[in-house]
Amino acid sequence: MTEPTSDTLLEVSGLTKHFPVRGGVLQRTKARVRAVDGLDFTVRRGETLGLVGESGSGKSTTGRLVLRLIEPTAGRVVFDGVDVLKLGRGAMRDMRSRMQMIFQDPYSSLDPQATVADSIGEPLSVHEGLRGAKRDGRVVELLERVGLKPQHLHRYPYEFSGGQRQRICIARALALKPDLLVCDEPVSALDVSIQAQVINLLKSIQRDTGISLLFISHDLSVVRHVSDRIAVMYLGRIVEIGDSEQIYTQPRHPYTETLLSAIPVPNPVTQRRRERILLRGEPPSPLDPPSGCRFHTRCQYAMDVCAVEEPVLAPAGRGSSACHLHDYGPGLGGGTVLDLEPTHRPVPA
Amino acid sequence: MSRHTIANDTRANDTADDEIVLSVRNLSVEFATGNGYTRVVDDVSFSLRPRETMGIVGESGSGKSVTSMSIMRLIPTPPGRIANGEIVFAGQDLLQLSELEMRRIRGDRISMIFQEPLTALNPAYTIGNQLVEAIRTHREITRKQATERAAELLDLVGIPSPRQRLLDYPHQFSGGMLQRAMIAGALACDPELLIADEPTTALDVTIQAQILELLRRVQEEFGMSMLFISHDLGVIADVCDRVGVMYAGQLVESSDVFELFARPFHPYTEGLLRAMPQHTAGSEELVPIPGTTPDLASVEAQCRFEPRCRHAVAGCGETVVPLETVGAREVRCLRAHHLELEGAS
Repeated sequence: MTEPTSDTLLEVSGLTKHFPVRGGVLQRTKARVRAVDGLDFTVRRGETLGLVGESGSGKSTTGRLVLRLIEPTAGRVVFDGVDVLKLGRGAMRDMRSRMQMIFQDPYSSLDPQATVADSIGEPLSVHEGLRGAKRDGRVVELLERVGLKPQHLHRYPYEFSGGQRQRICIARALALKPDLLVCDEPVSALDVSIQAQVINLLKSIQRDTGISLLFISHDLSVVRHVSDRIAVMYLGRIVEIGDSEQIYTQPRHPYTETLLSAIPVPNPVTQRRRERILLRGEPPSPLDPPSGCRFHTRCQYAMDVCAVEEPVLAPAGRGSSACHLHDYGPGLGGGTVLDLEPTHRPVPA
Repeated sequence: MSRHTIANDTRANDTADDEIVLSVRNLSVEFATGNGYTRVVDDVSFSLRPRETMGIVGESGSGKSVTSMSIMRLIPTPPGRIANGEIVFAGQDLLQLSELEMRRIRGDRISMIFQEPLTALNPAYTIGNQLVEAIRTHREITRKQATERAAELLDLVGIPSPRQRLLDYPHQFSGGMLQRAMIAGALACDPELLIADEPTTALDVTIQAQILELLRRVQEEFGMSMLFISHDLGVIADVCDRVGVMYAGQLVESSDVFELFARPFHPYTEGLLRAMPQHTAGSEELVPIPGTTPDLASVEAQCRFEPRCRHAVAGCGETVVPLETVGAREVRCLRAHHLELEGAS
């Protein structure tokens, strides 16, 4: 784990969220979904941390916990030296102006009956008391910053394409000059050609303003382009975190390796020559995660120890990995898993 | 695996007559909008050979799904209408068939799987019930025999303990398992053609890899042709033999998959390849295609990609551009002969 420095904007430790599953006549808690189960990570000023994982990994829950849109079961979220979870309502409201969020679906995150001026202007009215021409002036600046035009000011969301709507959401999120922007699958609903536009926009805003991004996505190839560092999640835990290029080219955890091998490369020659790792079976339920290492039931290198003892994040190259392969068996000692011979052949499709 | 000999026989005859399973000719589809009809598929032609996988790639609104729905005759009419064209399958124009005749083909000789398996299944019936129903619609066999066959199919698509899973309802299946069940249903009557419309788009990448592997395997085993609709060039590169690229309702290029990726002929194909995150190394800027797709209600007859094209010159926006045959490939671009476009990296 990176030690917090003056450079650290966000420090998350032991972050946990268990959702109760109720049932029966009395709606008693029958079980708990362990959506996020003890996360530690930091985000530095001006840095992008990518959070990658598949459905059910807990990545979106993590984003919501950081902004305290939902209350964690346990853990600490320290933002610019302030323990966010201890703030009262008023102080939390002020704090929110410094941490903003954009979502996957730009269609449902804009009020269909509000003009662009109203949507982007609302945070300016609420937090800075701006009205009328003064407010609209600021909105026009924001529109231009995200590549839209002043004449878009009085239009409604339905008049825009998906990519343009995401730009409106970005403008709204930037209105109060936040220090942190949590991006939850911001380009997943967009076409490839538009996806690239939005990613470049986010990067150029970051260059200009020094904003930090927590970029949540299922797509490791997209995340690589925006992130300085990447955290890979599986069933509520971080299995590997580290330098973006290292994660992409020299993974230190078998799950990261699997994710990378599953992304189809847009080149038939390369794609058909690649060795693909097909995972065994389906992801286990977060209601009852496997014992020991949560990935052991599907891992092609699983050893006996993996079913018994839960591995902890330990330094590996320019990052950390939670995997027994580094200490037991082949004893990788922080090296990449790429050269290992599988001990469990995955079942055929 | 028991095979339906009748289907096999007809297939042998068809292919002997003509090495084409499906031929779409000059298909145009329109939808009613506030002011008249908007053409969402414009003069699309392509054909599929036996055992071939043809991919149709394009972004939202390109008309790729409407094309596949037209083949199944699933376009809601109104508001939609097929304005022109022929869809020739096994020697007959599907567009001339009655609804009853079409129903005999759907799910039997042509099957389809969709992006959202959950919405394609009835939540109130068990998986087994729905498979048995699908089989018995087209085959005169007993319920018991059909159940037997359904279990075989689930086993074939890699669903563990198939006999028990037949009793499950759709909500008891995960997304990946549901898509496997859908594939089982699509294979029930040993089809000659499988249309897969974004079959892995809603799935996680590791599950997508499993499903693509499965589709490859069953295509081989059943000797089907496959029409594979996707927005993802990576998936297309993985499974297709040939590819058609659609933009704003038109086919702009079609080619063998290796040639297409090595050297695209149409600037839109090049733009899509360059926009893929894998095209750009490390943390460099991605290369978007500027602008957005045109509003189909107001497109003109000339090149529809011209406003976004980095190779456009004066004249591109003024002339009607036909689909031109270049060797075994086709392209809709005035400058195709002068351009040396960038392929996949």
